[in-house]
Amino acid sequence: MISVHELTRHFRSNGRTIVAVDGLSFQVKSGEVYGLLGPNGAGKTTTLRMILGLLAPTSGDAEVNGFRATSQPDEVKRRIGLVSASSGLYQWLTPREMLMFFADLFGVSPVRARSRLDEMVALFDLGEFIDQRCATLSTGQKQRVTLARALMHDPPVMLLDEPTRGLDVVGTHVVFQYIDKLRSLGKAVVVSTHRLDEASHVCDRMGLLHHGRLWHEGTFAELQQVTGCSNLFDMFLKLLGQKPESPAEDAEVVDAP
Amino acid sequence: MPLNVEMPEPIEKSYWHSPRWWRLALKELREILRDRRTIITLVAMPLLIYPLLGVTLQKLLMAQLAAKSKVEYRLAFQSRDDQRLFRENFGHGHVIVAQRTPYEASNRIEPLGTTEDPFLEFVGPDQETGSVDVGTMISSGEADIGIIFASNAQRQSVQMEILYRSSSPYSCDARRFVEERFRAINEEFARKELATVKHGRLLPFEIRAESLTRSGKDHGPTFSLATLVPLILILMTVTGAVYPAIDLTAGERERGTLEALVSSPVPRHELLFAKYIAVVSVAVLTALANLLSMIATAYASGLEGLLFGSGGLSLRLVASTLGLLLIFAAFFSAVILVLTSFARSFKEAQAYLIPVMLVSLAPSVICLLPGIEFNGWLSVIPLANIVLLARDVFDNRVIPIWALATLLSTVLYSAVALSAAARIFGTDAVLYGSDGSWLDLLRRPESSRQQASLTQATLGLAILFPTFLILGGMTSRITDVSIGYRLGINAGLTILLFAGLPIVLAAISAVNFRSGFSLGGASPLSFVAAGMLGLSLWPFAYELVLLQTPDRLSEFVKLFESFKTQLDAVPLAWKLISLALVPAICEELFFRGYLQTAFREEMSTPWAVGLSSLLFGLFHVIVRDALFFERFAPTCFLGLILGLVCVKTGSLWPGMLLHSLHNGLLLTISSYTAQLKAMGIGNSEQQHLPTLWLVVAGTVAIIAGGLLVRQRSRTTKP
Repeated sequence: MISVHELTRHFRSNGRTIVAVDGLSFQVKSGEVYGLLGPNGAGKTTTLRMILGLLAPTSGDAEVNGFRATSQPDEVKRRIGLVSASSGLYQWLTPREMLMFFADLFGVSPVRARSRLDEMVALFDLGEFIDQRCATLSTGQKQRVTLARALMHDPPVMLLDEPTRGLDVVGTHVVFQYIDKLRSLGKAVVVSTHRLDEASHVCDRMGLLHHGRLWHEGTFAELQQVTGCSNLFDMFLKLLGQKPESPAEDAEVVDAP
Repeated sequence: MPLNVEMPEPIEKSYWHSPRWWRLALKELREILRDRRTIITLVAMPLLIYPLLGVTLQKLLMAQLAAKSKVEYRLAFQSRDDQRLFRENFGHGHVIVAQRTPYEASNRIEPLGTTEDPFLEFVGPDQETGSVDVGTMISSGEADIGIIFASNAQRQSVQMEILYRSSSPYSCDARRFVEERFRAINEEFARKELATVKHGRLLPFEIRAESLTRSGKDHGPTFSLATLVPLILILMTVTGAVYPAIDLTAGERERGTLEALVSSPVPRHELLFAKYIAVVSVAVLTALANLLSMIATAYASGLEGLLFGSGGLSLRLVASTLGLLLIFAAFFSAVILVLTSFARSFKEAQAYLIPVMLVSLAPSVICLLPGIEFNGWLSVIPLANIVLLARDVFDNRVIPIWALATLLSTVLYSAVALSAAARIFGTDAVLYGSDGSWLDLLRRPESSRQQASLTQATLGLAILFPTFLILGGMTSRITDVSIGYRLGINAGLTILLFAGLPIVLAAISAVNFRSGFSLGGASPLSFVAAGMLGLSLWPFAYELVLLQTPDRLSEFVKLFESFKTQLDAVPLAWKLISLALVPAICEELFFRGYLQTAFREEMSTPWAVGLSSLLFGLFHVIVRDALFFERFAPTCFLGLILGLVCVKTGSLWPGMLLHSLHNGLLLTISSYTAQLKAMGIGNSEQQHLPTLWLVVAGTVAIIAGGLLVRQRSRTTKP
């Protein structure tokens, strides 16, 4: 479903070249939740933006359902639902208007859009406030609208960028349930987060990113084995101790499948 | 191409009834019109500002009049008899008005700011000659009102005509003051007549007031409040456009909705176009609200004569003003979208907009100074041209060529600005603050293009049109050199603009010259067919000219004859080079080569050919400082043929041959008119060509067309 090949992105800043993502490769299958884990600045969000076709890679490419992000960005976008912590809502529209608007953007027919809206209302319990202006909604209600928006066009691939940032325990639980639901629906899901506790709960496989490079990849058990650490927190501390120039100990790197 | 063997799932098609860009625009409008800040700009501001301005203006005028120790009206008469008749009756009317009851007195129209009776000074007629041109005295401001009496023996009454300036409050007051006294005589008379119940007699005075404008060549335009009205409306339209433009671009980015929007599979330029429609709509709604509020205030405060120019308020004026405001809104919205699309926050957008608005409004304000005449230069200066055109609309003295130049240049500038905005909107440089800058707009692409983009073609037009208008106007004023030199200068200008400019633009944009200008080779048969068309099309162009009305045709023939007389002194070879060969090659490079090839990338071939020939026709309508629409049909027709030849042969060269032969043949014929007249052709301006000639030309053209159609098409849509 998602296939990332040697994805690289450089930025220029004050005359210096910064390598945000460096030769990243991984794959995610349908019904699988893949966690992109790493500290701030590791390149998680940049990777998701390149998969979505919003940011052009310096080299390499990402592929979604057989379509390349660099040459067919519209086809790629059509097949992806994005949930981002930085996403906002249209303050002067109601959730109903906003969800129907996004359905239209993604080419969903009016009849299908109405049916999807009913499904989303039931799934996220939006009925109470579906016709209220978004500006008047609580943080939790806004979060549910954001989650519903990404699913309106029923995409096969979901990208979740720091989905629990700024949320309380209840909000985080809603996101966990959402990810479980996506898995059960057979969607390929990539979750970027620096919250290690939640990653081990929801992700089937994880990739540890540091300075734009994938240092380790595998299931939680595999990561425990290759890093020699019992939990993700220790793995991270070990990872942060690595120098940016040096790649992971060759023998210890779990090759991307 | 997909890398995997797995096939993508089919995408559900949309079944919405309206186009997507319109649905997007409606969403933007819904959002922006629910915002209270928009409503404040749209409704509350006009409702508050104009009544306040109206009251302030009224008080100001009253204060000005009150400041005068004694009101003095200067009256001009057609003759001493008129003056005598006035003296005999005015006193009577004045007494009637003075003796009115308090109820009647409440209807009196006293001079503003004073209850004392004004002095009346008689400034005409001249004591020596005994006559005067009253109209001129009013227009020049020598007198406040003019009075002309004409006795009507048949009707046993006197016709009284009062001439005044509606743009001068003083003149308006003088008219009211005099008119009221003569109406009082009529009312007194009517009262007496009713008492005696004697029918059949008419009132002693038939009073008619006529407003005169103070503008015109003799006196030059003067400043009046009416010149400020368009500027105020333009400023209010600006305020209407600014907030939605910022909110729908930089505001969206700041709120975090822009990323979700550009993550959808809708092209960025379509998203921006929807926003543009929304911004223009709000700007036009603001303009409409302001105009209506201004009209209502003017009526309520009795200032309509002052505010709406010499012609007064009319449906035509309101429609013209709204039309201009719509064009202005379309232009300004596009310009501010360029700036706000680049901004990453509301604050940043405001920081970009404020200096640009101040700088751009300065020339507009300067243009309102008295004595500024609308000309070729000013007609292509953005914003200033709209302000000046609005001023002339209010003065009822629109000059068609400058009006057309204003409209065309503004539309072109809008298109360029919108294209630039589309390039910036939603890019990662704006969205994520990555390495992007204004210079990205000017940077030469790393890889070459097969043809210019629509944006580059529009940019070429936007540069060419004003330059063509200004430089063309300048060269037509060069009279101290021989006609041969002038032809050389014009040919140089044609090379510079129609060949040099597209070549430079293509080089900057890394456009491949061969494909971008359709400079590939063509088959020998293409050249044969093009040659046949070049020799056979002129009779049809000639007949198309004859379709004009006789008056216009006669004017066109006069221009042609005057030009031909001048050209008689020039050797035919030089005429053929400067007027046939050079324009043919250069115009083909621009219209068919650069424009049409670029248009074909974005639209279907019929639309691309139609649009390039329409532009070709429009450029030929402008002759020096005048418009000759007679040239439109034949040049448009020729443009269509040339466009089709280019498409069919895949090359510009046959079209150049056709164009050169066509121009050359017309020039040669005009050089041998005497011989043609001897053959019975060209004796009259409206003489049609012999039918046999048309049949022969038609047959040749059909054969040539057949040759072009039969040969394998050498071009594919870019």
